[in-house]
Amino acid sequence: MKLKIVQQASDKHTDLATSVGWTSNTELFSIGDDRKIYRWSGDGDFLGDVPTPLFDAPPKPGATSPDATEMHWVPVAPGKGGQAGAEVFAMGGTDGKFYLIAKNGRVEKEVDAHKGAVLCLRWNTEASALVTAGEDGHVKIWSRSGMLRSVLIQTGYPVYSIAWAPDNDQLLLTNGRNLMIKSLQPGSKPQQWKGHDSVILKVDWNLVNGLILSAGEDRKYKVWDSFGRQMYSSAPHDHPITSIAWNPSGDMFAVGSFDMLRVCDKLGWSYAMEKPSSGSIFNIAWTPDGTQLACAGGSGAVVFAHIVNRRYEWKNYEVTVLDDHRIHVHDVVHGATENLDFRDRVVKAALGHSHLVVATSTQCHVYNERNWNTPAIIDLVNNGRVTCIQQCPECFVLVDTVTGIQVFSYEGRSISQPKFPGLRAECVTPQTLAVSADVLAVKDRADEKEVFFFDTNSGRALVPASSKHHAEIAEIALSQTPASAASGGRQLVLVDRNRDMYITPVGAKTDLKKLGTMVETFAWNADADLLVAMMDGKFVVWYYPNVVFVDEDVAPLTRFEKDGSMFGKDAQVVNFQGTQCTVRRADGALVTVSKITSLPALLQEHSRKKQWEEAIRLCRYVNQKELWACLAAMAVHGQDLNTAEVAYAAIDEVAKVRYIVHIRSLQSAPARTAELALLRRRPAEAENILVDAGLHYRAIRMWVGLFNWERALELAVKHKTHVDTVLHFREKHLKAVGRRETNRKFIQYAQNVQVDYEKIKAKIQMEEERERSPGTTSATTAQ
Amino acid sequence: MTTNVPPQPLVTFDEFSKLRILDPAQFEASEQLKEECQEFTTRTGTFNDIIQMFMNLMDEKASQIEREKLQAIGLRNRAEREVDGRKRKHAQMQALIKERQAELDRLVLQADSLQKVQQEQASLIDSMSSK
Repeated sequence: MKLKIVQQASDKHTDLATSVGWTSNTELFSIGDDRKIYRWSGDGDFLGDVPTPLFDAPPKPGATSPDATEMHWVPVAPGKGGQAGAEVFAMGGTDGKFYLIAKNGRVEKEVDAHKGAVLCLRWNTEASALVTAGEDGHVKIWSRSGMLRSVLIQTGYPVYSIAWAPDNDQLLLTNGRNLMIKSLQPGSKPQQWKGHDSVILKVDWNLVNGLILSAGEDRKYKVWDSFGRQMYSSAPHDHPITSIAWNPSGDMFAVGSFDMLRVCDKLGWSYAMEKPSSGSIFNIAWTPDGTQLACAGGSGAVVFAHIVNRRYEWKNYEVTVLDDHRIHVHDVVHGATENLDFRDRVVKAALGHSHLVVATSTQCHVYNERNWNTPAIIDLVNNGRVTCIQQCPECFVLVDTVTGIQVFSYEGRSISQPKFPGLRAECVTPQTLAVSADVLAVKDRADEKEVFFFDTNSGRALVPASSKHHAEIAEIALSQTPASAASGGRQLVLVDRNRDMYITPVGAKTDLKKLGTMVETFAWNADADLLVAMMDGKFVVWYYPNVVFVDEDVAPLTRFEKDGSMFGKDAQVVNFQGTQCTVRRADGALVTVSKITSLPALLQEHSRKKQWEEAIRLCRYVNQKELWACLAAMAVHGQDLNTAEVAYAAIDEVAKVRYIVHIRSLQSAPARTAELALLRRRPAEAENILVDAGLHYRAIRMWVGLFNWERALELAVKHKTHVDTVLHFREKHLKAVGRRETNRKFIQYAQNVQVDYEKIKAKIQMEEERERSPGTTSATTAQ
Repeated sequence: MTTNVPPQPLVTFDEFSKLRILDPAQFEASEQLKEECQEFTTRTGTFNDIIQMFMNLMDEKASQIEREKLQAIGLRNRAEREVDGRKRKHAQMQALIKERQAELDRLVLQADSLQKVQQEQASLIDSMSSK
């Protein structure tokens, strides 16, 4: 990735430029201390100045004429898309007032705000409130029309920079060397911590990833999470860092200093650096699509920088976005190259599953790897801004700010448009949206603990429509293989704010099972149900994640662990395909791990096709405990007792082998299924199976065996059989442990029901007899 | 004058029989004077021209010298600044080098890991084909 700098040969502003801001139709306004407002095109061409009575009118006698400190356009409210353009910007003045100025330069409002200069001001993302802060250390909140709502806080230092929290209910401000987070709720105590060794000059808080940036006179910039934990601190530079700004999608940020502009990954490592001759860069503004940025330089220069040479890799293809309108495709194996030209600006691209999807500002082009000449073209309506492209083998999802979530086939046909209330399209990232052939999962922004599920083909909500977790969810991902009963259906893996990883089936009752803690990153394999994660400094591969729903005892055995020190902290899985996994280290280096065995994938394939003989042969050949454990779980899941017995024997699970032998000895098929459900620790499921098959006695005996007396009694009473049996066993049990009956229900029934051991014995005998007789027929069919 | 000089005929004839008011000797002298004067004026004229030329030349030289002088001052300043400038440029280059080095390190790491992958794959192919 590189930066392409566009800068006029001579500086337009004759004094230092203080602030820049993009309008919604990608025009740039710049304000300088020469008391001029200039207009620029998105390509960096000078368009002319905007006359404003504020600067141009002859100064009133006795009144000092103000200089501008910072400007901020009213943002487009979420959900309105790109249509409703920003027409007004707020500008802070050195005279302590802030001004609302229209696009044509007319001053719509001027408001006395602070003593001393207004140093910074920010609209919140909903454009419903403006916060200003000044040299007097006050932070004030104003309504959209400029009415004072509240004085939030008074600090002892001038507030140099301020930023809204993603949910607009907190503010981040500088307080000398400290960073301060203050909730909007009156009376709440601000959270404060030391950020830098010297005065902090600039802060920013990203809407999407919730991370905080700070830059200071100690010549460093730092990345913090929203709790104030430091995630990155740069080495000291030559000059103070005077500006810092997140890209709207939160995957990178720009850093400005004297004659220096840098673009960094959200983890802090630097993508590219340029040295424009601009003086100190006082302000940086990204375009909403995040493809370019503009800087206001201390020399009066206005510097435009485009992000170019973004690269994507998939299998044997390398795709490079050369500039706004050109993409270069290189096939490494065949040496073929292609140049793709676009009429409009390339905003987002995604490469994977044999297809390249390129979103420009008006269209979406879909290329097949076999044909780079004729893409399928989808017109994007309503000027929406594409925020996220997510692919799966059968289709891809495009999220834009106007239409929301759209699912398209690779032929360019619209498949569906899942909708749910409260979708914030600008906040959707590949981490919060997952798609597979049949399910689309989206994390809700309004309630961070919830994930919504949709049918990819119809766009309708699945049943159940969502799944709820007890903590805020950070990342989600869906398994990618064709869903089948053998693999446990479609599964969702999520990582929450505490970095705990859970797995749950989709489309059935939410059943969150914990897979691991301290998970830094994870990914599903693109071709098989393998899961990889960086967990507590280890590189872990789950060969059969479904095992947690089958047999948690063998779950640790089905994992492959490897020392992850070569990846360092905070590594991110970039992709996991076949036997290779590519991981991006915190310093930005890509490290590939190969030799992730493909055998589990093969085994999964066998179990999917119910080729148990082949599966056993494979395991015998390889003879690894991991594979045997996987096979055991698969066999239990696939209800193949022979295979399960062999596999459990191979991993020395004697108890399990004995139990399976016992299951095999059972005559009736439902009883066997129920016992298998018990093996999977699902007594409720087992009970259902037994009751459905009419095996009430067995169900009651099961609960008795599990010491769940109440349920056993309940069942017996409900089906009006064996109440005495339950009472008899209860009594026996109590006698054995030497305690007295205290349960009121049992006392009540004990008074009403006669317990006669001989009768019970006869009844049991009869039940067993009965079970055996119809069981012979079902047992033969099951063979 | 007429009183001192003995009266002479007011009008005389010279040898070419032309009517003369002045006497021939005086006429001769005045004629000569006239010629001499003419010669003198032309000579002063040329002298003037030469001086003018000289002056122009001098002016030109002066401005040239002035220019050169300024240039020299400028150059001297630049030379003086060069030390500083070089330091700055050096720092800038260092920063760039650091940046590139970091990028190189990343790429080397990537190349290493990919080479390892290649080796592993080659050995896998070997072991497969030898069986």
